[in-house]
Amino acid sequence: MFSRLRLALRRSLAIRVVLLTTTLFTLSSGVIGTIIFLQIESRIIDSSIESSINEAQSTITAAEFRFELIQNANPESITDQSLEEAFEQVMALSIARGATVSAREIALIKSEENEVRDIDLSRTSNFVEPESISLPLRELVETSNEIEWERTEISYAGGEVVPGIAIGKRINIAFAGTYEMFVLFNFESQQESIAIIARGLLIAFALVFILILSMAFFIVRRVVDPIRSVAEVAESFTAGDLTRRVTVEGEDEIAALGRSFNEMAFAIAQQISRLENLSRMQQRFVSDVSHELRNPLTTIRMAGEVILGEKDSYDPAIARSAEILMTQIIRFDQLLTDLIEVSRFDAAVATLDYEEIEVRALIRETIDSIDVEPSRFVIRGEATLDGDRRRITRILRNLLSNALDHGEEKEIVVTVSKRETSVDVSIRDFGLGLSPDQFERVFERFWRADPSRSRERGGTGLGLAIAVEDAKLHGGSIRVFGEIGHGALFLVTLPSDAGQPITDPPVDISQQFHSLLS
Amino acid sequence: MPSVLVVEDDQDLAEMLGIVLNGAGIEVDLVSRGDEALEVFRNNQPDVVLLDVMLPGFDGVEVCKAIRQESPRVPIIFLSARGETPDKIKGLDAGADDYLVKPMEHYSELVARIKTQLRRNSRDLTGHLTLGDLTIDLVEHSVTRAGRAIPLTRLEFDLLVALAKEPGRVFTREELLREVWDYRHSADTRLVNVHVQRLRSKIEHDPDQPSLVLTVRGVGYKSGANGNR
Repeated sequence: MFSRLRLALRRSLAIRVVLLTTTLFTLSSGVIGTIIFLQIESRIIDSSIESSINEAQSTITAAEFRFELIQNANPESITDQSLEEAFEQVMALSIARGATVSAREIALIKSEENEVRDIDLSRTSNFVEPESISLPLRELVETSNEIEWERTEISYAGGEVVPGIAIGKRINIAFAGTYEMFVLFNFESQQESIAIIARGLLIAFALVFILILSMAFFIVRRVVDPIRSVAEVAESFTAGDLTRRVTVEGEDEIAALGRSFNEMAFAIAQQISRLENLSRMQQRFVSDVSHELRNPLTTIRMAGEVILGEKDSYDPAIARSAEILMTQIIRFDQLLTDLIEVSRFDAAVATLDYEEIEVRALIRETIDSIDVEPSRFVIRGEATLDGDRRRITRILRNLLSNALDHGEEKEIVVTVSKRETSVDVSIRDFGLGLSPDQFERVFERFWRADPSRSRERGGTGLGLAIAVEDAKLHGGSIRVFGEIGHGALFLVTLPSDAGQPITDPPVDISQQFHSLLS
Repeated sequence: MPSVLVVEDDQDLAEMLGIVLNGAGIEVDLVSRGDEALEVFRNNQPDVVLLDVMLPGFDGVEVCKAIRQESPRVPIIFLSARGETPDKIKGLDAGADDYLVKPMEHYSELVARIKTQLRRNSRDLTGHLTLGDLTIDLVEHSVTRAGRAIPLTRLEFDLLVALAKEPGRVFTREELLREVWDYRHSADTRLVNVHVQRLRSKIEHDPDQPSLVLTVRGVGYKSGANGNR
């Protein structure tokens, strides 16, 4: 949950801005709202307390005055009964007084040290619990001559509790001793007003919060959307769609960003298409030249064949010249064919025609087509695979010819083995061999291991390069290993099934080379 | 003396072709422009047409289509500098019977292929064959289904006959090349694939699910089992 939130925060500028804006708003409006609320609340409560104290003052004074009247009476006539009546009267009067200002309760509580009379005339109005007045206030009132007050909860015998204020004063009542008189004012209506104000403030806060939130969203979208669309276009541009451009509106900074992006994209696309054109033109040129050469070559070849066909009627020098002419024409032809093949690979237009191939039979066929004694070869193993017969034949012919060229007349071992997803064909000769720094170079176009050595079999210098391309086209590979003086091993790995990737691990080629050393 | 119409814009090559073919006892008419080829074809009625692909005036493939329209039977051989598979398929799709890539191994190869096509013209089998609901008349060289003639090129006809003659026998592509094209050396087996496709498109009810000419995966082709003599 948290990690997802963090991720969203890191990914989205919009969420970050909106969150920041609303947090700042909540904090600032929370502080302001609290200050306003406290101000209003204390104003309401303070003025209520002030008027309550005033009222309590006059109520208590009136009550004291009432009790004064008892003092003037005949002491014999004072009984518990009459005192009780006097208390009731004072209670009734005090309750009635100023009842319009605020609901009030009266409590008369006998002081702790009052021992004037045994009877306890403590009472409260409307079943107010005496505990509504806290002990500290009572102690304060007992020791003070002034009016004392505190905020309290007025609790009734029925269980009802209301907020309010208790204001009290010690009074001396003749024949009854010291009592504390408390006037309790109900602050329910004030609390209600405060609650209404608080609710109003909260509603206002919520409304403004929503407003700020949607404004933040709106503004952020106005800013972020264009940036996001630029980012999206940049992404698909990177993925290779060079035609994508940003839609630019207006003249602001984001429009400037979009415009510069478009200019950059245009420049890149132009540069790429220039390079593409260049390489296409070059490939095209090679292909065209190769094809254009074919017509004259066909004519020359036919003419050469006609001339050579009559060689018995020439004198020996001319007859030999005709032979040499023909050999070179054929070599030229091979070179041209290979060049066309290479240009086809370079232009990536080479395609595969799959069919089922019995590898061993194909190796035999290929050996037959090369003008060589078949006993030079030892063939082991057998496998079938899906592949392009023409291309695989060419791979085999090129590798077998290469082995014959460098095999020093020794035997050549061809091993076919089948694995899970691939077929390996290794061609091992025991001739000149090659050094590790030549492993890569051997597949380069027109590379010769030893420039001074002539090519017995008249290869074009493109054979191995073409073989590698043929293998790659199938999704396979050709690797080489060798040692100077101990021969070379070429390993062809091709997928068994058309278009399926090879998942087998690569063969340990040096181990295979050495295992065939004997 | 059999005659060949050679349509080739390279003058020297055309002349050389003439020398070689004359030497093999074949009469040659030379045309260097595609748009002239059709007229010469009509006038001279050659036994075989040898056609370059890239021609001025009228593309070789167009010439091939036009000649096919005139004569469904005359063998047409393409001689092209372009040997890529799509080029070959384009040529064969236009109705050509064979496709040779320049330069040939030896001119005798060209002569052999032309002679093969000539032999095809005079090959004589008699009687009738049936394959499924097809009736093959070996004398008339016609194929009919429910009395309606299906026009086939000579090569397609020979291919169909070769398969229908021995119902159920599996022919490898190499065998068909030998039997139908008369090739001694292994040539491009795609030639067979393309012509089988074309034959199917003409004779099968549903070429995607053939019932008359069947593929035997990894081997070759055979005719539908219900064919008989």
